[in-house]
Amino acid sequence: MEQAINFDKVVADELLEEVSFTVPGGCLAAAVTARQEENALQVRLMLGMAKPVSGGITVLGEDPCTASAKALNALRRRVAVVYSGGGLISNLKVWENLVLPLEYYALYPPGEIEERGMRALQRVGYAAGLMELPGHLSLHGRRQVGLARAMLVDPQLIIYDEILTGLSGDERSSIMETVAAFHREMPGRTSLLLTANEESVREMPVEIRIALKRSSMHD
Amino acid sequence: MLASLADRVTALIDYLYDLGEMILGAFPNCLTAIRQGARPVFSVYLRQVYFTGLEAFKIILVTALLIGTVVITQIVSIAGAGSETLTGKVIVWIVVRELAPLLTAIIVVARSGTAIAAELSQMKISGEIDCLESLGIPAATYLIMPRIFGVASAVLVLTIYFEVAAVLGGFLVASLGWLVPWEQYAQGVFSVLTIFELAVSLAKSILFGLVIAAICCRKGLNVGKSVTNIPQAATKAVMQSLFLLFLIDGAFSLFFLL
Repeated sequence: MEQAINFDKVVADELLEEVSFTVPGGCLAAAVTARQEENALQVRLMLGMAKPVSGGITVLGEDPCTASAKALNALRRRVAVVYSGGGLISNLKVWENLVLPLEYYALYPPGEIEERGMRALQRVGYAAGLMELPGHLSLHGRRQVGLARAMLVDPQLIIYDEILTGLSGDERSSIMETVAAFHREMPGRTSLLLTANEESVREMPVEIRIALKRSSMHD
Repeated sequence: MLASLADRVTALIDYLYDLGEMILGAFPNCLTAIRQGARPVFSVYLRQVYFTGLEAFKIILVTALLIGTVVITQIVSIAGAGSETLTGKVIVWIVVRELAPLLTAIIVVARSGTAIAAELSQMKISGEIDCLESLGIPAATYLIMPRIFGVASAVLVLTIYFEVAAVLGGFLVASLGWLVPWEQYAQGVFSVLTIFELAVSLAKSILFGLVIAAICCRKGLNVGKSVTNIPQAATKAVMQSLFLLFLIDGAFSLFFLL
């Protein structure tokens, strides 16, 4: 099985000191970090939005630190991130946020985008309005839309940044079910849950658990 | 002292180079957006035109009418009755050449420049720009380019409105206050209102629009990490825009004088 993500002695900012881990391709993994800021930094490093001070990173066979802008863009289109706050654009309505990547890259005709968008929202159990602004949604609602948007682009690698904390039991179960079902849907898809709260992924049926707590500088 | 002055000049040249790069970079990004489908980008462009152009229409109209009135009143009070042709000429020289592009740009800076800088700062601080980038949507194509062209088109159209409103408003005041006939007023206006005159005025307004948007986007995207940096970014964007507007206007006037 090829490596989907490989961090080799990565030192970055003041948050990460010599972090090394590997996520094999096709598995559902959870990485427990020391704090939430670390998750955000790791996402930025994986997508080439931040550069490490030292060490090497490989994501889906690409080195985001040395990749050209074009290659980096291509990599980002193969990876989806579900942020803890949903990662929605505040001045776009829910529907605009949802279909933004599909419309931007004109991946499907408008009718099909609408159909796929509605299906994704139903799948995550989103029940609020389509024309709502993200600021009017609950945390769960924002995460549902963020998850639906990530599912729409059919990624090879999906990273969940702290999406199970701060939710009620039912909300957490519903999201966990959707995450697990989406992971199984495409053979070879890699899913990585980043969390600073170990408890939140305890019930998640992950195949690999990675503890990154010790490698942090400020522990 | 000389070294410090040289440093400042170098910094200004670097700054202008950055702005030029941002504006010129918007053109290939426009082609990229068109190639990729462009619907969401076009929607950002239309929103910008709506907020900068349509929503500023009333204030532009009122300002233009008042400016037309003030200019006509001043000319008549200086030149006295019987100066109808001169009145028409002066309003073209003052309004079309100078005031319309400049005042429209100042109003746009005050209304939309602050809004652009504050909005982008807020997006940057809350991580929304990173979210966009993580979707493979570059900020330069989705956020900056449509704003640059949106503001430029809005300033261009608003300048035309301003010129028409000031010239017609000026005539209204002249005809009501001093019984100036349309024929004589129009004769004065059209004797100096050449295509070249209009082209310079509109070119100036497009340049102003491009510069305002580029400065405000740049300030918004270069904001610090704290929310308290947002008003600072907006203030700096306004001050730098105003400074460059006057600089460009002065350069234009000097160029055509020589």
